[in-house]
Amino acid sequence: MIAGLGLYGLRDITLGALEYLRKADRVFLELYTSIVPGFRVEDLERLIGKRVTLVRRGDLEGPWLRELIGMAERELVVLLAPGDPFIATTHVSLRLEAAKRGVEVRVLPSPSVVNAVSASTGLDFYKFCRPVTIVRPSPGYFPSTPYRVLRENLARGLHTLFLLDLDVERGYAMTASEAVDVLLELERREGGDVLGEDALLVAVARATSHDEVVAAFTPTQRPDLGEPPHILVVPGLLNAVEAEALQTLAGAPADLVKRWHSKVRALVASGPFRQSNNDSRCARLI
Amino acid sequence: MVRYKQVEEIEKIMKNIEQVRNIGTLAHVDHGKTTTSDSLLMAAGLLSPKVAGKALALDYVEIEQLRQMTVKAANISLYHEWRGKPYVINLVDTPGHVDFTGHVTRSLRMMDGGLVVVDAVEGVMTQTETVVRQALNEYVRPLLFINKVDRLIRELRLSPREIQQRFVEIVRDFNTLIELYADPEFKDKWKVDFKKGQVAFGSALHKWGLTLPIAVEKGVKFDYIVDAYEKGYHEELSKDFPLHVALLDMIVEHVPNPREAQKYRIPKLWKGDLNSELGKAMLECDPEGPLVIGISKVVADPHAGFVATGRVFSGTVRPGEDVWLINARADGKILQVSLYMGPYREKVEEISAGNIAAVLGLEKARAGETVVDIRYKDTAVPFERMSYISEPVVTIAVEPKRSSDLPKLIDALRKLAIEDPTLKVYINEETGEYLVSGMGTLHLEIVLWDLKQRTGLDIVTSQPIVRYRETVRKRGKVFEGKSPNKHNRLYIYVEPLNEETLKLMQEGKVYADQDWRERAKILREYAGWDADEARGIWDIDENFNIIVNMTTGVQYLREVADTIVQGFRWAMEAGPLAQEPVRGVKVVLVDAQLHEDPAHRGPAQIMPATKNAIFASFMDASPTLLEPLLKIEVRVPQEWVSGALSVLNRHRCKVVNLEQRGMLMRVIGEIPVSETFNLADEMREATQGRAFWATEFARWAPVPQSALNDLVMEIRKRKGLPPRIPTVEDFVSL
Repeated sequence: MIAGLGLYGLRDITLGALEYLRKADRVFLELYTSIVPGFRVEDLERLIGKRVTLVRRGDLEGPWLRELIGMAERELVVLLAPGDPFIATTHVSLRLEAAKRGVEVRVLPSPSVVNAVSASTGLDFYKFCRPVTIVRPSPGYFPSTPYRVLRENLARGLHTLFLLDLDVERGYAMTASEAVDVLLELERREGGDVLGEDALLVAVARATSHDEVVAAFTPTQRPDLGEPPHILVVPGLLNAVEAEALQTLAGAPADLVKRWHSKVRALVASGPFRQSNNDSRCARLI
Repeated sequence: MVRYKQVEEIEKIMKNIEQVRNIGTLAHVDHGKTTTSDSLLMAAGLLSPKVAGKALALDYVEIEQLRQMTVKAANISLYHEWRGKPYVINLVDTPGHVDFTGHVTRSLRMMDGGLVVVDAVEGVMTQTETVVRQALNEYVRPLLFINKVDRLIRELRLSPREIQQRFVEIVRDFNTLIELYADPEFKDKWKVDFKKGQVAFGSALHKWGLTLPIAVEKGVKFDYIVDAYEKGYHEELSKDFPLHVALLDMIVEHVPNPREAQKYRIPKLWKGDLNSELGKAMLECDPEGPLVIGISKVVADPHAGFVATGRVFSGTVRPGEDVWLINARADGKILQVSLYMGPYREKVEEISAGNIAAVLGLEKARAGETVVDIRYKDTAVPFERMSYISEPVVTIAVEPKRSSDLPKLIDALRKLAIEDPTLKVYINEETGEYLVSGMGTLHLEIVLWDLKQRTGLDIVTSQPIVRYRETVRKRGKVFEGKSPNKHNRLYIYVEPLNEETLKLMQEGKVYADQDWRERAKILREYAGWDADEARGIWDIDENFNIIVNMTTGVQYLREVADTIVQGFRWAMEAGPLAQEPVRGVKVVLVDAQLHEDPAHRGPAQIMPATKNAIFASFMDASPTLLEPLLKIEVRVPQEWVSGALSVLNRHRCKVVNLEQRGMLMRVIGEIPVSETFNLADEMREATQGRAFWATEFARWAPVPQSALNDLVMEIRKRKGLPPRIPTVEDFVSL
């Protein structure tokens, strides 16, 4: 059984998941793939009336995985993961390994920031294109994929959701501001000119929690968003509803929205996707 | 006695480059290199009156101190007058033992002539051959000093005729080396001739020396010298025929001045464009040209910090100058410039091309560095790529007797490692031991002696441990390496690099940050590489392993290329058999699948995937251990030769040559380093101390197949690894 923990405290644990957690012989919990504000293991243990064992990346990605599957052959084992366990994490290998051993795995979904982002910003789900993680540069590893994805998405007029790197086991979580720095550095290296002074950026901190912050800003004026987790969105073309939502929900100045929209329109008009409606993965979303 | 000169006087001579010579002494161990250098310093060493004041007051004590200084000095300047003109002769320090190969090359680069000291009794020996070969490789002109003539008279009781015969033999052997190893251009020009005064003979111990022209001029015959020793008035010889006059006359006359030498040396030693501004300035040894300094030695001075000594190849070095360190890829500012007065540094305002300078302020400089004017930062080519060709073969663990002294020891070790790049100092993470790896047992003995001298500590050392290498003997199958999250897959095989490729890397002709077109061309032409493979090289590590990318059209590969290289280096540092460094392996990446999102293909995912695939193929490729072999040369009187041979046989020594040399038998063989730790005692016992012998690093060779398993298990046990040799499955499972 693999279940999601959702986005905040114990709030998003579904009734279905709760039932299994109470029945389970063993409950394991990984907290390395995301941060869940307001969550405490003791609260969960009290709620389900049993001990919860924390597992680390080294366990789930190492030989211990086999032991876990071995346990699941004999007992009811639940593995809990932040957000939705199958979005942006890689627990599918666990599922495949179990299937190989003939162990049945059920999956219980939960809210993820990927669906919360539409709720928080008002940006239309249908107009998001490929999401990408901005990773903290390290010696020898400074991938340019995030910037390339941004450019491709903008050329299609679509929104880009940036997930932000984190290394929970070392106490690191990227802020939206750091993410913008990385994007600017990539833009410099790749020789682009998308993220100028009037680029419209939207950040969501602690999505859907009681102290959620949604803020529209530009690369030169960055708001204080508080503690992680953060995500960052660069909107594409905006329809009337979206434009209004950004002003209302994210405090975006009307003229900034307008200027950005015309900039993206110009990018689309000059880009490779201006006439085609169906020749790429994301084209059907236009 | 030493020459008291004002610094200004010397500065004046140094500006006139025709009156400067840069030389060094070279010799087989125990042939008298140190005694010769000492006697030159004592007789012709420069001292400024400032220091001299002290020297006079303290006299003997100071001279002892002077002598000790020579051990550590990077350069000693000498003063000599020849045909009425003053000369400054820089005696560049050379390492005491041929183990320090990189050091030798670096000091050779500083000098234009080499005084090769040969023991009259022992003649031209292995290391004589090595040093002459190295000198010729660096286009340093070798001159010959036949030392210890007193032994011929007193020990061997040779007649004057026999002595001359002996000299003729030595000169012949010496010239054979020049014929063998010199560039065709210099084969004839550089052979030494008694008549022309290119050979000196004498006794460094008794401080006398002669060349044929001097002997003729003074009308002295061998009979007189033999007589002097027999009648016991040989002390007189040093007054009538002082050694330094013979040697320095020879040097001034037959070693080219720096400008002359740089004309033919720069095109051979420097890989850059000779028509560039730097190239031209160095060819001309131009004091007005852009600054270029080749650093030969860096010494930690307790008062001054790191002192870098090197040769100014062009330009003039002055304090305050901004410079670029090519190998360190860092800028620096020269804080102080000094010349050498004898072994002491004296602050000056500037030192011009062709001279040896000591500079302060370049904290990042290491021996082998090339320092250039900062304006040539982007175009300058170094003399030497910092490839650290040295391959440490023996390791010892060191600790102070009192554990509270540990910080002092660590500090000294750190400094030593900076001064001697062939020395590796590291911590065993598991045991916390401080390990020191060097080029041989003798090298480590010298290091330990130095360490004790510097720190005054009692140091406890472990038994020496031989460093092995891991390699493969055939091509392994392609294996899939998975990242921990299973979303990245790399497909890799390994195979042995051929001998030609290894040779090219050892000679520094093929290296990591080389222009790829040039490298591909060399590998195709001289090592039979396939054109695509040669172009696909991503990296070459210090232990001569190569990673090649043969994939096409793999999405995101460029973003993870550096991480794959890091994984390759990680795998090569400690191989799968026994975590010894890997050597001589070609790693070929044939295909890869990478995750869409950069968060799921970071170093923590890609490095293990790389290592797993390499190790799986490695275990499939007939892996083995390589052990270091030493070339050993033993000279022993005939009646003791069987004793010496039986000792060698007991120690897996393969005798490759056995010949009669005069009254001695000369045995040449190859012996594993692991067999040499008690050789000295056994040899002494078996030959009643009549054998003299020397070793130097020869090559790496696979250990006997029958011993492989036990040896691997022994190393694993020592390192606390699971007592089981890994299999392919250990790296492909999951």
